[in-house]
Amino acid sequence: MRKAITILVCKLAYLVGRLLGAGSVLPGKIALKLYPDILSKIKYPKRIIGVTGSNGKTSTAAMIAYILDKYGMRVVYNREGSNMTAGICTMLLSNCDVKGRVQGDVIVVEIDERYAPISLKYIRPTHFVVTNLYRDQLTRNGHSELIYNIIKDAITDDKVLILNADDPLTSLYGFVKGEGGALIPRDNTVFFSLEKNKYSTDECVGTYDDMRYCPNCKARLHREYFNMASLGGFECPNCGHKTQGAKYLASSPDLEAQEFNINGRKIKMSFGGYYFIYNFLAAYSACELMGVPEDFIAEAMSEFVLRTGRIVRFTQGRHKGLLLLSKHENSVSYDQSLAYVARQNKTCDVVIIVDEISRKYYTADTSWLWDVNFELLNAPHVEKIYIAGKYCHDLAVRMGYSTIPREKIIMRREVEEILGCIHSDKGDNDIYVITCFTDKEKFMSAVDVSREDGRAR
Amino acid sequence: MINILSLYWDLTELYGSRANLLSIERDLKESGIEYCVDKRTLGDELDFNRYDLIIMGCASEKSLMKLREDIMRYKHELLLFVEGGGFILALGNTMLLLLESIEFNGEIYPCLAIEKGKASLSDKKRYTSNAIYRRADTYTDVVGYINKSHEVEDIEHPLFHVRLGIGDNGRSREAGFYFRNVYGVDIVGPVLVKNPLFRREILNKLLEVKGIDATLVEDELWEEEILAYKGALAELVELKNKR
Repeated sequence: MRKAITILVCKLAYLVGRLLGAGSVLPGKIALKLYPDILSKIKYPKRIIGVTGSNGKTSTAAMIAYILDKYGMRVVYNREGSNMTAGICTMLLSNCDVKGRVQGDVIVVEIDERYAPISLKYIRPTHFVVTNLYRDQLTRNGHSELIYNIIKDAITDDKVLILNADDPLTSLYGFVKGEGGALIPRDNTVFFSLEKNKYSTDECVGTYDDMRYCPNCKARLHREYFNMASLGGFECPNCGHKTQGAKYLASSPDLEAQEFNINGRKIKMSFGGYYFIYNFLAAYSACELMGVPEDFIAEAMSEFVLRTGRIVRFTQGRHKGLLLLSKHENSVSYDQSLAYVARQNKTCDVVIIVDEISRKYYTADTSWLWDVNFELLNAPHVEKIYIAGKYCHDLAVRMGYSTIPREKIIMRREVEEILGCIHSDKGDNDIYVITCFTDKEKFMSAVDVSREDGRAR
Repeated sequence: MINILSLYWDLTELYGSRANLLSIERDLKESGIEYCVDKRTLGDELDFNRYDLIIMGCASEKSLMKLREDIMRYKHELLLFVEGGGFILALGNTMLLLLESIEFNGEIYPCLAIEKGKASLSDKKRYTSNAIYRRADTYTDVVGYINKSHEVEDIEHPLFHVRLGIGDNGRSREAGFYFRNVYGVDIVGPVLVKNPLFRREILNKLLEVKGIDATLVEDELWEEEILAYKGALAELVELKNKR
C-alpha cells in the first residue's frame, strides 16, 4: 500500500510539475521522503543501461534512448537530465504502474559520477557506460582520480562495462589487480576507440596532460598519439597498461563533411564537433550490445539531432551567430568549443561570458580558467573577443596572460553592454558565444534564435 | 639572476596551479629582472645549490605519495637549502612534503621535516570551502578555494589566520606555515595570480635577500589582477557576513 501511494504521489507531483514547468527532482525527493527504500521495492526491466563520466553523459544517454526507441523498444529514460538519486527516482516512479513495475523494456539512466555509488545502490545497471574521466567541477569533484575511486566502488562483477579504450584512466576499470599488482583483463568488458586519424596530434594540445603518467603505477606513459585532451594511443612500459583492442572502432573522421565511420559504417553528424565522435561511439556500443543491428544503429545515428539547447543558431542584426554551450569548470568541454572556433576560416568575433560559475552550487572559484586553452583564440580570423560577466576581471587577467593581442579584447561587466557593442558594430562578422547553461539566456534572450538544435546546416 | 626550480611541474599542475609560475615569470620579466626556470620531475637528478626559489603546486593523492618517495632522496640537501636562505613555495598539498610525516591509509610516511607538523591524508575524504586567510605578520588577506583530502596538526609557524573557511583541520583557525623563506599555502590553484599582493610580498622578499635593487612593475595587467582580487575578496567577505 505504501509503495502504491508513494508511486501515485510521485506521478501526481511530476504531472503538476510539468504543467508548471518545474524540474523533475522534487517529485523524487517527495517519494524518497515518503518511502526511503522505494527504489528497492520496484520491479525493473531485465536491461538497464547506466551512463556516467565527466563529459558526454547527456548526449550519449539521449542517443542510446533515441536509437532503442526507434528500434521499437519501450525506453524509460531521464530525458530531463536529472542524474542524481531524486531525479532518477522521479523517472522510475513516473514510469511505474501502481504495483511498482517499470513499464519499459529497457531503462537508460544518466548517472552523476560523483553520486554513482548512492544512485547505484538501488538501480543496478546491467550495462555501464563510462564515457571518460577529466577535470570537471573541481569545487565539487576534486580531481579525476578521486572520481575514479568513487565510481570504482559502484562497479560490480555482474555489470557489462563499456569503456573508452583511449582514456588511460577510464580504461583501467577494465582490469582487476592480480598477484603482485599485475593487471588482469576483467570479464564482461568491451571497449570503444577512435583510431589515429588526420586530426590526431603527436603532443597534447591542452594546457595540461593529466595522463602524462600511468594512472595505475605512475610510471611515465608512452604516448603514440593524441585524439583530444589526454585521449589517444598509450602504453605503460612499467605495468603494461595500454590502449585496448576495441570492439567498436571509429575511423576516418571528416569534420568538414561531418562524417566518420564506426566498424566500417558511415555515420553523419549533425554538428562537426570532434568530441562528439566519442559520444557516438559509446552510444553505438551500448545499442549493439542491446541487440540492435549495426546498420540500423548507423542509420539512426545519422538522423539523430541533439536537442539540448547546447548548440543554438541565432542572428543579431547583421551578424549570424552560434552558441556553443560549454560547461564552466570543465576545460575539456570548453577547449572543444574554442577548437571549433579556431577551425573556422571566416572572420568572426567571440563572446565569452562568465557571470555565474555553476548552476548546481555556489562557487566563486575561477581556477578552472587556467586549465582552459584560450590561446586557441589567438587566430588571425578571430577579430574581437568580448568578455563579460561578474568575473570579467578574472577573464581579463586570464586573457592578459595569454598570447592574444590585448587590443582584441573588449571587456564589459554586463552582458547587455556586450549586446549593445555588437548591435552598434557596423560589420557582419559571425559571432560565437561560449558560455554555460546558467549564463546562456542572458545573451540568447536578446537575440533571434533561428535554430535550437545540433544542425550545422 | 633569479634561478627558479619548478619541481615536479608535470605532476603538480592540478586546478590551474601552472599559473603560479607564470605570474612570477611575468613579474620578473616585465620588471626587467633576469631569471631562468628549470623544470624537473620524478627521477631527475637535482642540485639545489643552483636555485634561489623552488616552486611546487598541487597533486593528486596518489601522485603526492610518489613525489614523497622521490623528494626524500634529497632531505639533507633541502634542509641545507632552507638553512641557506633558499625560498620554497609549496602551493597546495605539496606543502605536506615539508612536514614531519604523512599518514596515509593507516601507514605513517616520514617527510622532510622542514616544518613541524603532521598530516593525515585520504584518497576518499574531501574537505572543501571558500577561504579568506589573513597573513599573521603582514595582515594581507589571501583568497581562494580549499579542496583537499588531508588535515594537518601541530604546525609550529602558522602563516595565516582563518577568516573564512577551513584551516589546517576541523578545529584550527590557522592555516599553512611560514618558516625562514619557506611558504606552505594550502589553497589550490593559481593562488599567486588571485592574490597579487601576496605574490609581491614574496617576490620583494626574494629580491631583498638576493640583493637585487628593482621595483616590480605595476602595469595594466597588474591593475586587472588587483580588480579581480578585490572583487573576489568582496564576494567572500559578503559570504562570510551572511553566515
